[in-house]
Amino acid sequence: MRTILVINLKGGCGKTTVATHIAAAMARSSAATGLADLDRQGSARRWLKLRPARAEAIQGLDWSKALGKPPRGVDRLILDSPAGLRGDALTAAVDLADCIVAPILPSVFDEMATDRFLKRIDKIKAVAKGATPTLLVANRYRPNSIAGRRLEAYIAGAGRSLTARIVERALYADLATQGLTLFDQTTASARRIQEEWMPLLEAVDRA
Amino acid sequence: MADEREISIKAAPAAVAALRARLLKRPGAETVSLYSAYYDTADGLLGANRIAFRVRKGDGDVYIQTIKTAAPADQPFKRGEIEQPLADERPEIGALQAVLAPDQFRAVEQAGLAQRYATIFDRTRAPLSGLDRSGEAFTAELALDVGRIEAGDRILPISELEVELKAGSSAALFEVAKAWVGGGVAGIQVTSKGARAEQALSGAAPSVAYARSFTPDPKASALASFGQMAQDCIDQWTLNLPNLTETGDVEAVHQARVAIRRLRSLLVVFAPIIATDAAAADLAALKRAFLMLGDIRNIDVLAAETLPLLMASGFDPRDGARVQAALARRREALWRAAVERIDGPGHTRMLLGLAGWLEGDLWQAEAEPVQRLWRQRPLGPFAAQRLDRAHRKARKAAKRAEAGAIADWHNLRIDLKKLRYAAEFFGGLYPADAARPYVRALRTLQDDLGRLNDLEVAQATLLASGRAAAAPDRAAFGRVALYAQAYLAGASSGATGALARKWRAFAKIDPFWRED
Ligand SMILES: Nc1ncnc2c1ncn2[C@@H]1O[C@H](COP(=O)(O)OP(=O)(O)OP(=O)(O)O)[C@@H](O)[C@H]1O
Ligand SMILES: [Mg+2]
Repeated sequence: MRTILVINLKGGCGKTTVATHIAAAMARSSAATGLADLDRQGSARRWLKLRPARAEAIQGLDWSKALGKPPRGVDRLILDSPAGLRGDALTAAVDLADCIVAPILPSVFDEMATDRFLKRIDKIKAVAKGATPTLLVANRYRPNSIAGRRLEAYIAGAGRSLTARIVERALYADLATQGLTLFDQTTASARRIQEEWMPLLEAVDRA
Repeated sequence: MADEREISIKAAPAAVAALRARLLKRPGAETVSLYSAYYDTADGLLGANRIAFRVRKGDGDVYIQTIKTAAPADQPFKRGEIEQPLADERPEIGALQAVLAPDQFRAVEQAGLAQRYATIFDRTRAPLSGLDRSGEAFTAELALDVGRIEAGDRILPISELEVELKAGSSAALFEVAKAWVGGGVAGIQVTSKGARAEQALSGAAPSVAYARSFTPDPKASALASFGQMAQDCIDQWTLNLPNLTETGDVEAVHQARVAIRRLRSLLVVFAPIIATDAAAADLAALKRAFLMLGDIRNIDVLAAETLPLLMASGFDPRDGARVQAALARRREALWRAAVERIDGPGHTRMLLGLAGWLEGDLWQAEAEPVQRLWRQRPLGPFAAQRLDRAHRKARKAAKRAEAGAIADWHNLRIDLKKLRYAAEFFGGLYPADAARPYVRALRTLQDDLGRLNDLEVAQATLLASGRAAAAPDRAAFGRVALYAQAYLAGASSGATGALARKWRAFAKIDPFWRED
């Protein structure tokens, strides 16, 4: 089993969107998939309730009060975390994970927050030792925008790299309200957009 | 047919003249007469050393002696070939010194070489070049060989079109060969001329090919593993064709069916990661071939297993003899029809199409990006997921069967068969003693279900054969079918309880692929 923690201190940067997409893609590639919601807001749980029966099944887990035990038979477990997870709760979640996925927004205001967040994560033993990789995902990315270029420069300056760039698209909000993701769609245009996610999914699978 | 650079297809004698004319129209085409004598000692010392010794006479009084040695297992590129011109047709035995140890050479010298067999044929050859489906260039040679093999006191005809790939992808080889099928060119000639000669000398029937045992590499990707296993299935099918078309032994029919069933189960097990669109028509034809051989197999099982069982239940032995004789005639007719199909253009194109699909990597066409995740995952987790799925499916079928009728047990039988193949494909990934109890319990359960199914199939086969039989036999078939029916009724009424017990014993065993 492989556990993937989706996390960032910032609210609204796309944690739930990224977590649900990873979960749906894994389920679609026939891995038995679980999605644990660590957030009291319960957006991931709500999304699962909306999920239609014809979509690839994902096992939901409510871990908003405390981390639970990974269920038997699950190949991929995705953790969707709340904004502002800190202290022991953060360490405990990171300790469970085989890899960390951090969505970041290409906004000036996010840089400082991302910086703080990455420093904090880096102090956790498993991350410091290099056992748990941190994968950065630019979300709501717009190619050729000033903000996009700023983000690239900032990441490069920090000696890190972006694993994937997820372009800003209205359909993400629409899909979320139906309990779906891009990976539940089979149109040619959906498949093209799925390619944006592939570097992240492949990295998660390898980690 | 992995890494094959050559394919031979049988050419009907009636089609030869037109085919030759067609080839000779191509620029650079020519016909040469080839006489080749193959030598060995009386007790086959050269053959035992995997050495072929040939003297060939071409047009004009030119004689060439060729010694071919097989590559040693540890040095695959060391396959040797020594060629030298001769003054006349007499072999130059001294040349063997280069390939034999001194004591062996002395033994050969003392024994002396004698002609073992000869091939005498006209070869019309024509060069061919072009682009394959993926746009890659290829060059090939087409050769129509017509003549005979003289082996001992037997003469075997030679009439075949050979396609040899000189450069290009092996997918091109299958494409070219497929394009030349039809108009009397059909039926893969699996056995080489030399092997046919040796077979005639030994008087043995062509051998039966079994599944190679596959040792999967847990670190190899799931995708690469599929390629290897599918190749093995197609090889097993192809290698059984000589026996299938020449003698049609019970075991060859059975193993040919095993080959197809393995391939089809492999396609089910690997369905999420492979593309079958390009092979859909060929796979449908393969299924038809499977069913065709199934009719023969059903008679074989009936004659060898079920009928003796029924005989013990006491019907008139004269009916038994009548039915056996009629079944043998029916089998013969079905077999002849099957040979015609197997050596026909449809089956030939199917086989070349499937080989090309595999060699040309058409099965790797990607349906959706996430397939890449599957494909790159190592075989280990992939196998566990697929085994789990087959296991869960069988459990569901068993639950239905325990509550249901005999038909539900038959559905379980099918699901268990798939589970068994998955366990066999992937079993090598796990310690042998881990998989053994599971597979053993699975097998005993399957055997019981299989026996029940045999009885049911036997009854259907008796009825179908009875309908096809001549009037005096028909009555005998009717009487035997009645016995079969009574026997089946008795067997199934007692069976479900025993089956349920065996299922529970099997269900208790922990699946060997689960970690915890
Ligand atoms: N690439 C994108 N393009 C357009 N809209 C997006 C994209 N990613 C996320 N969104 C939208 O942004 C909003 C916030 O996203 P999401 O809920 O995934 O963030 P979050 O980090 O989980 O938020 P929270 O901190 O509240 O848990 C949602 O309405 C979502 O549909
Ligand atoms: Mg959220």
